[in-house]
Amino acid sequence: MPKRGHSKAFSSGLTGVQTLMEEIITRPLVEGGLNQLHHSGDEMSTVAARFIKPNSKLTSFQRLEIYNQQYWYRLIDSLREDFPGLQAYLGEEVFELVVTGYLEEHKSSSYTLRNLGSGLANFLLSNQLPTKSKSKLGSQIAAFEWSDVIAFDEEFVEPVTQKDIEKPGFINTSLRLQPYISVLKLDYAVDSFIAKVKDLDITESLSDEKKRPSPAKRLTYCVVHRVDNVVHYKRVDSFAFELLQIFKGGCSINALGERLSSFANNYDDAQIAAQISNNFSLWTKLQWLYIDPEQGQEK
Amino acid sequence: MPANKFNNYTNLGIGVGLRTAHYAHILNQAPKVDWFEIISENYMVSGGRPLEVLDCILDRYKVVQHGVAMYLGSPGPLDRDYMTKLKRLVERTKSPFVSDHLCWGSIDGNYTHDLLPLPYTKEAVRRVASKIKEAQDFLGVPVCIENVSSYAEFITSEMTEWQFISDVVELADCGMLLDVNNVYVSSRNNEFEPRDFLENIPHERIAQLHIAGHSDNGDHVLDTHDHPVRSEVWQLYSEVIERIGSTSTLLEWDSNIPDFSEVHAEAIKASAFQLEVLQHA
Repeated sequence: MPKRGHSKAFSSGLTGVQTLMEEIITRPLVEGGLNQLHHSGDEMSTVAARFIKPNSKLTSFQRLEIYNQQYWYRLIDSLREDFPGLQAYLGEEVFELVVTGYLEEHKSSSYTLRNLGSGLANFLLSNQLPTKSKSKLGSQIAAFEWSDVIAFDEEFVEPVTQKDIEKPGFINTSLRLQPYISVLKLDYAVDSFIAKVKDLDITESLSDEKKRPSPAKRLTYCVVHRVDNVVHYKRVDSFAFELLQIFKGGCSINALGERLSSFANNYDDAQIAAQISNNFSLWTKLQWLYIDPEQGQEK
Repeated sequence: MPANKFNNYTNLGIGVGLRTAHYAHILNQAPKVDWFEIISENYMVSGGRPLEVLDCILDRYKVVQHGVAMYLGSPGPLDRDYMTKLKRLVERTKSPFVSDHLCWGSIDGNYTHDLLPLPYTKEAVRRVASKIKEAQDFLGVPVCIENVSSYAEFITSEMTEWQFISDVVELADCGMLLDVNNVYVSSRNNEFEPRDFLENIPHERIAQLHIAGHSDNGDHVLDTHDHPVRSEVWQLYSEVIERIGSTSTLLEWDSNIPDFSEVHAEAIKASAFQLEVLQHA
């Protein structure tokens, strides 16, 4: 391990400078500013002075700090915009701690900020600090809000048509759920909670813990989808949820019975057929299903 | 220069950056605007509302694409997935050229989502120019690069920013999007005379101009795009027009965004400056 004040000299080539700068500006802020200590053990001011020029008003450290602050402000703001429900539930302070931890562990790997929150739900589930008791619900809220992002701009594939359905052998054709649709099983009524949050004055609720909303505990099956390019939430029953889960991975009508076997023990054949028929009819109208181009007809 | 090969021989007039806050007004009121600039990445999606709105805008207005994530100065090759989506969007918008920044922002697959300045070195010139050439070949339209606002300078720099830009655009044979506000912001932060910058860039390669507001924090200036254009920047803008003539100009307003009419009114002040300068020429 390098001794304090004797860190390995950085490579002054272009990539060496960029590596050092990226490593420093993505470090979490300490009391709103750049960490005074570099991980090598050197003073950050010493490290900054090795590659950033000071000017007549600011030191190398201060100039680098501007980029460090901008990095965190920008990324946290982006997550704030995409996860208003999680912020309303956790409160501003805990939200910032959570997303800082998330971003520290998961640096952005996409050119677009749109994808920044894709792993937040899983992060909350597997990282209980500092919200041990809230992590499960927080994770479900984050998963719901990520579904909102997906529903907003994910692909719409040409859906199954009546003409397709009338073709011979259609029941053996593998069908999939539209890419923009998410199907969620929630322990809480997160859908009503998010709808409420969207109508709230977030600033007011964040500043007062007593006014902070919380979802009601209720087993909820919900589909996040869009109609005419507007995002909607639709509750479904447990049977429909199972069917949609199966279609998410791709399945033909003919193979549904077998795939449902363990779930549908409590239903007789007529009930299963009616459930499939009614739901399929509705989902076709909603354009939720399309023919899987990779699998086409199953044998 | 009004119209040249770097902007595909277009002089579109005075444009405004298309922002979601203004979608409803633009779609419902159809205001008279010369052209819109879109942030490419916002529309490099697979479907939904962004593309629906874009198609409505394309039905009524000319659109030019401006990107924030090509990261021409980052190590490694251009991102193929990114470039493929960008090309698909160019085919949709018929953008006469595309612009992005002379900066870097990613390394080893990690993205900072910032427009980070480069050390002004020969190595950086070669890296960026090579990628611009590749991007132009791939996209089939001219690529113009924009000078960024910077808050820091590198000890390893071997030349001035204007020399660096000149070397890059000459080697890549590409155009330049001159952001007049960025020149001002960087001049304050990096303590140079903005007129030295403006005098020493290749004027014949300027394809478009950007103007915007900034925040003056005393010991440093931030490129916040949350104010009207400051008088110092309008002064520099007039001097640029005097030097290069009437040129497509775009106002950027990204934070604390007022009503569309206010943003547009700020943008078209550029017409008055152009008229005044050219009448006295």
